[in-house]
This record gives sequence, C-alpha cells and structure tokens, in this order.
Amino acid sequence: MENNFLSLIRAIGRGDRIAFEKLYAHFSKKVLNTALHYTQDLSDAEEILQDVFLSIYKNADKFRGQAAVSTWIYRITVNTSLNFLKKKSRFRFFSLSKTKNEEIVADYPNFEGEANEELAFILRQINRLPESQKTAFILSYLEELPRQEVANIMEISLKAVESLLQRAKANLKIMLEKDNKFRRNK
Amino acid sequence: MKTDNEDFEQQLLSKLKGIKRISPNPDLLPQITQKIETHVARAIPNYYWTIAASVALLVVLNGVAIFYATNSENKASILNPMVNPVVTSFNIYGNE
Repeated sequence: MENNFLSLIRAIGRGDRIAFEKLYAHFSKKVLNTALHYTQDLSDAEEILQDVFLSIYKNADKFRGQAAVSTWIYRITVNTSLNFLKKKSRFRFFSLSKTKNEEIVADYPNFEGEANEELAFILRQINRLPESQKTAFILSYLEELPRQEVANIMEISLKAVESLLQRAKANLKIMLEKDNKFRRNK
Repeated sequence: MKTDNEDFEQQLLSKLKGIKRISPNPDLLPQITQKIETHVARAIPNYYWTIAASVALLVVLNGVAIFYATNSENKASILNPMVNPVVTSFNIYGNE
C-alpha cells in the first residue's frame, strides 16, 4: 500500500493529474475531517483541504520518502490547520465584528439537534487546549491513529505524545467539569 | 475499582465516538484542479530565471568595472599631474 502511495507521489511530482486524483480519493476524507476537528467549521475545513492538496501537488517532487506518505499528508494537514487558525484569530483580533470562540461551532455538520450539544461543547473545549496537546488529542482520539504515527506526524517521541495526552485529558477534565455541561453517568 | 480520572476518560472517549465522519463535497476536486492549473500557468520556468539572473549579473559587473575604471583614472591624475596637467603650456613668454 505504502509503495503504491509512494509511486503516486512520484507521478504527481511529474505532473500526473490522474495520480493526483487517486491520492485525493484516498486521503481527502481524512484531511477534511482532521481539518474539521481543528476549525469546527465546514467551509474553513474545505479551504484547508484545498490548500493541503495544492501543497501536496507543489511539493510532491521534493518528497524523499523519509516518512510514510500518510504521515507526510497528516503533517501538512496539521500545519495548514494550525496556520489557518492563527491567521483567523489575527484577523478576528483586528476585525470590528469580533466573534467569540464559543460561536465557532455553528457550522459543524456532525451536530444536529440538541442531543449533540454536549459533543459540540466538548469539541469547543478541545479547541481551547494548547496547540501540541490539541494535535496529540485530535490525532489519537478523533482520528484514532496509532500513537507511534502521532509521534511521527508531530516529530516527537512516543513518550512525549503520552505525556501530551495525559496533560490534555487533565486540562479537559478541569474545563469540562467547571462548566457543568459535561454530564457524567454516575 | 476505577479511579475518577479513568471514569472521566472513558466517558469522554465514548462520547467522542459519536462524531460522524463526513465526505468532501464532490465540487472540491475541480476547484483544486483549477487552482493547480493557475499555479502551473503562473510559475515561471527555471530557464527564464537563469537568463534573468545572468543579465542582472552582467549589468552589475559592468557597473563595478566602470566604477573602478573611473576611480583609478582619478587616482592616477592626483599622483601624476602630467597625466592630466592643469598647465598645458610652459611657454611663459609666448611664441614670438
């Protein structure tokens, strides 16, 4: 499978559009959902998806295969999403019509009805975590990637990933319990 | 017996399992392809960059050469007044 992806990347590096479409068909859903976990806004996630695949097309000839293709694509997605959020918060800072972080979830297609309000609240709190904790949490628990792959994507050790996850969960516990919106089944 | 933290973690993760994964809108691929075409059309081939860099280098070298040539000419005239003498004729009494 990996060899297949690698040959697709090589072909994209030579400008092969069909190879690009095949890669897109395989990874676009993963990229879109990862971006959506970061932005919690479908149109923003779609913008990130476009930027990620444009970046893949531009940089395919520079890919030397030091990491797995999926790791490389996830890394581009994470970086693009984090940069997008930084740019957006900078824009919001200078914008006259400031929107609070709490209002972002409006366009999350996975949430319909009041039953999912709690889930939306949990995702908002995940969004408030520091960057590295958020990335470790999203990739491990929402994308359900193996810890080693998360470590490869973030270019840190396995131990560092575990530590980030522990801190993320501890922070989430404090944040979720503080607002009393997280209903625990006793 | 589970600790409070373990219980919290389990409940949190089971709630997160409720997130459905969505598929991208089919219109996105044509939009990306269009962006790629614009990028390819806008990109200037390396060949043109090489020519432009060579021309720029020649112009700079030419400028440097002119600068040094004029400078050395001036220096020569200061050190040796005969190169560019102020008095061109030493005939004090004129020609008779």
